[in-house]
Amino acid sequence: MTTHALTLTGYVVIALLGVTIEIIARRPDSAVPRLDTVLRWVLRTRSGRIGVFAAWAWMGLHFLG
Amino acid sequence: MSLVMNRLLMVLRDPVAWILVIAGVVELLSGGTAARGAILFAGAGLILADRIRVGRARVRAGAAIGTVLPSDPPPLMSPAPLRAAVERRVWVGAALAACLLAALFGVHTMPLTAVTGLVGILVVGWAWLTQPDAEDVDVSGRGLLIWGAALLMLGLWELTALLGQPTLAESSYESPTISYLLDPVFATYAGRVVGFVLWAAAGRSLIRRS
Repeated sequence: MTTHALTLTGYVVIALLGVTIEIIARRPDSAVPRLDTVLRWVLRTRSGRIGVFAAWAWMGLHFLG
Repeated sequence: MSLVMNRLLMVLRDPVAWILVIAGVVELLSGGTAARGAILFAGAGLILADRIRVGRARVRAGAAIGTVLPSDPPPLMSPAPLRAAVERRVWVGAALAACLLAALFGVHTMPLTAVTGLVGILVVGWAWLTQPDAEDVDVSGRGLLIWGAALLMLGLWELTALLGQPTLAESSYESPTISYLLDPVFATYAGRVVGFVLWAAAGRSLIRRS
């Protein structure tokens, strides 16, 4: 396996891991919070809001700007 | 002097400020533009400014009634009017039109840097000026750990890919970063439209949650 393929595989595995966690979180009585809940938890403080929105703005500048 | 040190320590104890500073340094080391680094450093700077406001508010309140304030300082303005405005359907149409228009320009060109930078500054400024809703969100430590670990894995894998390049600023096919993989997508008009729509939708979604 080339390093290119290995790197791509890593991204896919991590993406699938995220999807799996979200699916588990959506099950009834799951102890794992949904991503939406975690985001609202982070956004409840001003430093969390600044951090999340700065990250969002950076993504726009990094990929598109 | 001790007051300044105390406020500096309050910032240093804030993980969000650290994350923004580290991300900003990595961005600049990897050949990113000053605008990209600036938005991250500006976020850390706003957190510092917030801590200074908290410190001042604590001193004022302590002198007056001797109470302890919550960690967040009082709001500078109410978020309700802007949030209501964002939720209006007309904004969705306007945003879509803006995405179609912005995508006419190539990525990493001055017009797109200016537009995305301006939008980013406005939204980060709004996040700084407004008070979060006093919503009681209960998240277990284990739940945070699981999502945090997934995010950390992504960050470390991206960092590994970055370090696998010939230099930090030189992209590599053998060790592709996410931006290297997405560059061909955003080289097309349709890809840029999708990118802008997703970015705008994510921003709107975050604003509605805060």
